[in-house]
Amino acid sequence: MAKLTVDEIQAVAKLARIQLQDNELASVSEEVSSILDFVMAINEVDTARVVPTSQVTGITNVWREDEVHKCKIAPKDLLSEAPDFQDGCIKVKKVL
Amino acid sequence: MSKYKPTIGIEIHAQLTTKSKMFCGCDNNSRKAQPNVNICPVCIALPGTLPVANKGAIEMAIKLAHGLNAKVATNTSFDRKNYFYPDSPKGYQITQMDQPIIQKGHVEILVADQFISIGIHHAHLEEDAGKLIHPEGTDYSLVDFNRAGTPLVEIVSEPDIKSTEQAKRYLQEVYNIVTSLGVCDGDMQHGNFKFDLNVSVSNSAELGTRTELKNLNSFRNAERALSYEINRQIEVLEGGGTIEQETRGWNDTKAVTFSQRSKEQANDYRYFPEPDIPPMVLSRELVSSVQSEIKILPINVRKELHLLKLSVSEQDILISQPKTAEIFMSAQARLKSPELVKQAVNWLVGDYQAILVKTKKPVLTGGNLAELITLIEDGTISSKIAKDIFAEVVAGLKPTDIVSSKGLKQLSDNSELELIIKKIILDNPKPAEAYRAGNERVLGFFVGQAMQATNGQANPTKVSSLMVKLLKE
Ligand SMILES: [Zn+2]
Repeated sequence: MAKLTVDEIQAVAKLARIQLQDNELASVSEEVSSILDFVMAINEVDTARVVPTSQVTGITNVWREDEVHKCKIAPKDLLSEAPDFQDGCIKVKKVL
Repeated sequence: MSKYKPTIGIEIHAQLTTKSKMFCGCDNNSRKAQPNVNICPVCIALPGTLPVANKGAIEMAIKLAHGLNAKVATNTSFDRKNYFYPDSPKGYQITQMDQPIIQKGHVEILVADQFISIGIHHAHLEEDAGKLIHPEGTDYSLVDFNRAGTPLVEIVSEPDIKSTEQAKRYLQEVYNIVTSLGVCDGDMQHGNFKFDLNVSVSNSAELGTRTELKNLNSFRNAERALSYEINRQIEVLEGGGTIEQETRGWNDTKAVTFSQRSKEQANDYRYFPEPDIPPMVLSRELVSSVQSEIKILPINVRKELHLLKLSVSEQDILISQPKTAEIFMSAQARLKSPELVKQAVNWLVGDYQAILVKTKKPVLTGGNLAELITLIEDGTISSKIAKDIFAEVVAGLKPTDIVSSKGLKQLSDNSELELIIKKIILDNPKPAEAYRAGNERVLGFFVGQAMQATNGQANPTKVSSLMVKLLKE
């Protein structure tokens, strides 16, 4: 049985940019632990002789020639979902 | 002398000179562009888009492998490095973690007249992030995605570097390699070649705790930051303290390193294989056809020049100009003795540099330079004539053609020279008398007169000896 500590849950929440209230921590850690348990059923399969797989199509070498193709969509349309602009740049909360 | 010895490892980021970005067809050159114009659904990460790797970037990495004396991986693939930051539209960077394209290699550097080898752990392809601007005195940052998706190669050294001097030479040598291969334009001011330095000190066989100096973009600052950081670590240890593993920045104005981020806050990047880009299998045919385009490598030039006992700074002049280095290598292969090869160097670091400043498209070939040197050597032309026609040789004319079309052949026919010299002596009875009376300094005057009379086509040594003989008659 997997048991994630509150610290671990907080670390994962931070990496995923999810804000958890203090009173949620205990229940979320229970829930995530039980989900992990469910997924961990796959550990029962013997994979000792299986090569790790991340691709199943068998396709290789999908690449393109080094040519410039200007995008047909105007930049202002591409960025229309951005909340705010200044001097052609997207304006965000200060980082640094 | 301190008993503490530094150990240094370096990560270099070099921007590739491809026309388009790493995974989309957007223009890779935004030097003069307005913000956010060279963007498309792929590089700003709109949902449902598919990155497709740039073959030009892959070929550049294959070339670089040769420069780093490294093998190209037969099987290579991309991974995702996850982090949230406004400069990363996708929330991850496509990079290479498991199967980097360039495997183990080494770079030879010349320090204190000795060639030493610095190991390359690996090098990999990845994409750059967008540019962040932090206007002073405001509560916001500005994001420009023109640079997002620009192809980079990251070159990771082994911790083989043992001094600040070695670190600087290593950086310069890798710089020479990427620029001479043409895979990076080497514009350090714009951050197109920048590096992170990992440094620790220790007074035992065990390695000390390291700190990372991030984002340096000049050789001089690398040297200063390293010296400072090595001394700082030694002082901390000698004062009984411990070194914290952390990232430090370099403050150029104050000339100090400062703590930026400690290891405890370090990110967990949750790497996993990039599902949107199928793996690559690089055939031996592809690798050899790409690498066969490489004409010369800086190390070969350096070794030739080192044999000639030229100083490192003289070597650097030639090596830092890949085209000039190419001319040198082709000329030296045609010249018979080290003395003549040295003359080729003299031409290239002397007269040629002066012409380069004024000429936009020099077309000097190694063959023509070697021919010019041979014409002087076999006495066909004087070195003065050679200097006079050098600009035309640089413009692409063949030295033998210039000499024959202009009738510049050196006067080596003694009887003809003798007539000219006799006339000069007759025309200048007073200096001739003075010479015979023992004033040998007037010989220079006579030789000058003879050179003038022959339009510089006489061999000065021959003139001088004939002159002495005839003056004494
Ligand atoms: Zn794009």
